[in-house]
Amino acid sequence: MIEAKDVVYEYFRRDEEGNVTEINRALDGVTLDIKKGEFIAILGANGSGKSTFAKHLNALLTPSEGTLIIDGKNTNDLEALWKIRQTTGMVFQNPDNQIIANVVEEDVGFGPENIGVPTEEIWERVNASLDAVGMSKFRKHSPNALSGGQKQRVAIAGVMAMKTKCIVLDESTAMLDPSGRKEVMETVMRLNKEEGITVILITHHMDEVVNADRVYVMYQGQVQMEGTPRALFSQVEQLKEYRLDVPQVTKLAYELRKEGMDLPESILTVDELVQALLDYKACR
Amino acid sequence: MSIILDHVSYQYQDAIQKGEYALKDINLKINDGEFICIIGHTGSGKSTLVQHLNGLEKATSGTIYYNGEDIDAADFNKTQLRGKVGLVFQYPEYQLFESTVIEDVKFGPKNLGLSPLEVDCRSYQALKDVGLSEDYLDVSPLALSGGQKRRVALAGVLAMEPEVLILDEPTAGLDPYGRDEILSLIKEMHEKRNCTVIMVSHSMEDVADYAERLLVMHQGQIMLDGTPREIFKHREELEMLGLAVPQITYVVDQLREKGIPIEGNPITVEEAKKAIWKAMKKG
Repeated sequence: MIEAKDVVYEYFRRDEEGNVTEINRALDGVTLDIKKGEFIAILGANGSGKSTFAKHLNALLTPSEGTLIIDGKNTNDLEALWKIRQTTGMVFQNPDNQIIANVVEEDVGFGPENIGVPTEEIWERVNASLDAVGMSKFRKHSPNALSGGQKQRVAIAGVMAMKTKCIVLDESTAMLDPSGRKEVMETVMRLNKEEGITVILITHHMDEVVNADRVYVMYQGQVQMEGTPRALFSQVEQLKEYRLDVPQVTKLAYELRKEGMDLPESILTVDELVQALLDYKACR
Repeated sequence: MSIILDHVSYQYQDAIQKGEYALKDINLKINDGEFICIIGHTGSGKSTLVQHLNGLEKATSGTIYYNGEDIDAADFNKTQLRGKVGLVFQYPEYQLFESTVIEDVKFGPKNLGLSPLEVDCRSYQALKDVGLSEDYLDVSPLALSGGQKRRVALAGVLAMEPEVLILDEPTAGLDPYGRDEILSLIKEMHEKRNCTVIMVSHSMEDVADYAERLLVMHQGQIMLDGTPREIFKHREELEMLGLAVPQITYVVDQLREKGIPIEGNPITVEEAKKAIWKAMKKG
């Protein structure tokens, strides 16, 4: 679905006369391979290049060097641009910056209308998309009256209505309260499982990552670590070096292990830790 | 020294006819030197509440007293109030506007009518306090990273030497390391400058680590008011309000249900570690 090979991206800073004063290498040789239907998380500190990489996934940016293939199409191929933008949909951080219509259903229908989908099919798509994110009963509402989590679900429906195969969520839960985050995460996971949509989740919330199939850790424009959440979160010290963290239960388990309690090495959820502690107790 | 809200209500213009309240009959006393966190789902009134505390919003009814003075009284000096109650908005880095870091920090204290020397002293000190080295003084704020910009914005408020520091979701969008940095900085300011801190947050874990007192808001009202330890006992009520408790509190609750006697009410990793050890060693 997504193949990146040695992708480099450089931002140029220019002075008033247009001379380049500074070159900032935001991506420095990113190579990765994401299969269709995978749920991928990308972690990384502020400024590590994750958002720059995300913008490459629907060709908002194109590599300065290296190649990026999205669903068989090279993002540097101008002819393929529109196909790529229909393949990958983006959901950004601020829910208020990506909703444009006065009524929920019109907002969802905006994308397909723009690419000339026949009216009847637009409505079919709008219905299906709103159903998929559980927002059908709000279809006639004004987006302004929705909560943050609901707005993000409308934004996801808008992406779905484009029949995208891949959704990129660029810190889409950062501004939401706990219930809003849960809504969005459950919606995304369902789309992944039931509709086979490839999901790329960029986040600072470590507990959102535990359900991903694989995680990439970026630091200074490069992919530094890759693996299952379980494999990754067992490396607490290493993650700290990249300015990251582990979920609170993982940290608690790690601290207990450090004190000499014999627990499994990588615990990711509340249920796992409770079970491990019960097992430990039973053994003694 | 205190802030008192006496039957404070606030309605947006277009909501008056509908009878909807953004704040509804709030009665609250904020004591000198407290570290208070406010939690609540989106739209519960947290931001509206804090914007009343330095007079940015004016209560539709009720009175707010700052050190015993009615802040909406005709002879009350609101400019001075804004120097004493410093408000750091959500995503403050988007509000930097001067051409250099130092000028941006100076903007607040300048407006307080201080002498140029005093403005300089306070601004340099504030930048030092937030951990920005002198190399950055004359750099454009736009050239800084997100975390650095947020520090500049915080320095701008600190330079006014507020008695009360209000922060609206100061860690939103920061990576875990940056989050810890900003939070420990706020804690340090609280201790070193002895200022009252009021912080709006969505992270139950951060709240458990830092707050001395916790306010839970829902539909414009304060539903719960107490120490984090007391409040996080009300797991079911919090969940009904769209909130949560720290992850480890769920661990402790479940262990208890399975018959493991865990003492106290741990809400941080450190506390939970000790309590679990103790329970595991027994029997």
